[in-house]
Amino acid sequence: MKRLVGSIVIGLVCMVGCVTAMAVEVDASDCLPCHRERNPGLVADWEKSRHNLPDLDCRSCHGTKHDGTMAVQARRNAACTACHVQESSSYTLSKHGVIATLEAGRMDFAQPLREGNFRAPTCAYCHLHSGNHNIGAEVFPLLPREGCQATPEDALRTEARALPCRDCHSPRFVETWFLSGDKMLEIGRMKVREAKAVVQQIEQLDADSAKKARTIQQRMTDDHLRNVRLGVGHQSPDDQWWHGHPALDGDLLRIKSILGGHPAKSTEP
Amino acid sequence: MRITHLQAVIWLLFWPWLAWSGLPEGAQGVGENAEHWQPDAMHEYWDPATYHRPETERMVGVYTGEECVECHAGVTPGIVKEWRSSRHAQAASPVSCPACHGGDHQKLTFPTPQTCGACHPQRLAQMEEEKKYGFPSHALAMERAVDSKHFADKPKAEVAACLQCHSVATKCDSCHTRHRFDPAEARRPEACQTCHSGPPHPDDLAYFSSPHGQLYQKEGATWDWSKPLRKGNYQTPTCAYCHMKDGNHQVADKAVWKFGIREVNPKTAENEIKRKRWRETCADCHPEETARNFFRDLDAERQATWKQLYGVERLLKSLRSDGLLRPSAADRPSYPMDWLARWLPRERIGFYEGQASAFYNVSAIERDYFDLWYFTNLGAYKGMAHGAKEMAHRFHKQLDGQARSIAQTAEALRKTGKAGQQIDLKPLWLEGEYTRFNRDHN
Repeated sequence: MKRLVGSIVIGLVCMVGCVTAMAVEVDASDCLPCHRERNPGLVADWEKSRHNLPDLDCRSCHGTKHDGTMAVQARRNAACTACHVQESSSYTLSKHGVIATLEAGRMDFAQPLREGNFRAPTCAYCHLHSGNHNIGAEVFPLLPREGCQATPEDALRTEARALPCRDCHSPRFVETWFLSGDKMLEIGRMKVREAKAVVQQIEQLDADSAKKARTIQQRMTDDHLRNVRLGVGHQSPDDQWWHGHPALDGDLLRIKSILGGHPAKSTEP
Repeated sequence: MRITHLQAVIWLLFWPWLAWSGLPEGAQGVGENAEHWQPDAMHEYWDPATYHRPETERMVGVYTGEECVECHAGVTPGIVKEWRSSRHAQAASPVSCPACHGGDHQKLTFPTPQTCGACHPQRLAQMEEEKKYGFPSHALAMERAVDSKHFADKPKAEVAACLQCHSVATKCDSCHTRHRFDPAEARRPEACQTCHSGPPHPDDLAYFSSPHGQLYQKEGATWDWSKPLRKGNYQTPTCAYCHMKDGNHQVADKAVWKFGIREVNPKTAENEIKRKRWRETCADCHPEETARNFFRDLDAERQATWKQLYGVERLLKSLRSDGLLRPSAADRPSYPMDWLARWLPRERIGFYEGQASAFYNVSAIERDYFDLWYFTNLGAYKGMAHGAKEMAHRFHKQLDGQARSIAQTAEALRKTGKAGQQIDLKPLWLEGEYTRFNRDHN
């Protein structure tokens, strides 16, 4: 008899659990109709953001459990790092990232993403500052991606630029950091352009050497230059330097060596 | 007084010479090559004692700590929250903003180690003591950076990254991040990771993949980090536990193989003393014999690796003797301060010739050796020294592969010989967008 009552009780508990879980599991189509009314600005911001992609929806960052923890979950770095692996490594190595790692258990993620509410900025603190769902709207114009230069409209925003940084740092520090970083990045681009000019000369000689040189030059753009940009943006010295500039130097001289040591070139008078 | 023609000519030539030499305006650097470079704007934050300019455009007046906090809680709320949770704020008589920054808003300063040392004299003295052990050292890190030839040579915005880590000598918040300055934070290995990572010093990789680091990663988050770094307080050592035993801010008195870019003799009297200090540290948990064996293995690994490195170095030097390094040093840009090298150009191979700065504008085979010596060698060393045997093994395999590839390239260069050397490489190596910019911006 005891066993029967026990199993009925356990069965009921499980059933209630399942029903509750089902009630809070959300479907992709569930979010927008409701939140468009409740938070129209937020949805509009997301719609113009770079996260408005076919394979992404609210659940990608907020999870599927509509139980009051959705905002908290999306504020944690783990919500971003699953997709942004390379970005996360430059951040993790930075002082901000180190503090975030050490303080993860003590930071209160229920707080809004502003006013220095977190001991160190997390991914969302800067890229979704004050909950702005137009991802990176405030920090993007600081260091635009390659081939994706800041528009004049972005330039107008320089007054408001780097708002997240200013919650802790002086405007002069922020401005100096990014001006210097812009220069550091531009110097990286100079190396890539110098390499491209050499690759063009190699292309006149033979296809094999050209292919080899192009592969190296691609690595300069896709890896090393990207590291400099991420290193500046995330304040990671290692990415700016060892994974950035000396790596660019090495590949630039390797490309030059292909041309300098080329047999066709060597037989010239 | 009569002015001769010769005096007049000298006088007339003096001004163009002065303008050409550019000395009076350019000389804002510090250190050995001071007259050859001008700092980047960020330098004031990395070396505030030398370069900081007070903010004079915004606020006027002299303020008390309470007034600073009242205003900055609105302007920069993050740092005020930070400071409020620090021991500085919670002390019976709080150490507030003016104690470190001064009260006059037109003359604000950034704290240097000397500022912190006013209240923490023992820690400052320990850090200063480190200087007697030479490089590498936290206390001498800024000199190491700005005195490097490549630092003086390259555009300052490019090498600004160097200063972020090397500023460990010029301010204390590299490890004790502002504005909480919590010793508990600095005790954890992640505190070292921002600088002790990457190809030439993968200390993070080595520690985290070692048995010590594995245990830390599994359980470290739950430990009480307010305890001092002493025997029995932690189940596994962290970076600071071994390198800064009992919180000693002098980190150099046990360093034998040091940075790892030159061979040392581990059996000198001085190194024997250092080794004894190491064994005493290990003895907190391990029998002395274990530590002895550990260091015997490390020395054996290092000596074998150096044999291999010298072999590759000899190969490169023989190519140099036979004039097979192309471009030759004469065909490459020279360092601005190196007038001797302009007259007697010579390729720099190995530590003692200064190859640590020669990782750009060199021939591909020299750079291949640099990568082998400065990256792969150091990966093997750091793995071995931190007890990460698998990592050391992996880097050794890579090292063997790179050494073979350099030998093959050398062979090919010898085959081509001087036959393939008729063209002038100067235009290729002395011109180009970055190369030109580099030449004009020290």
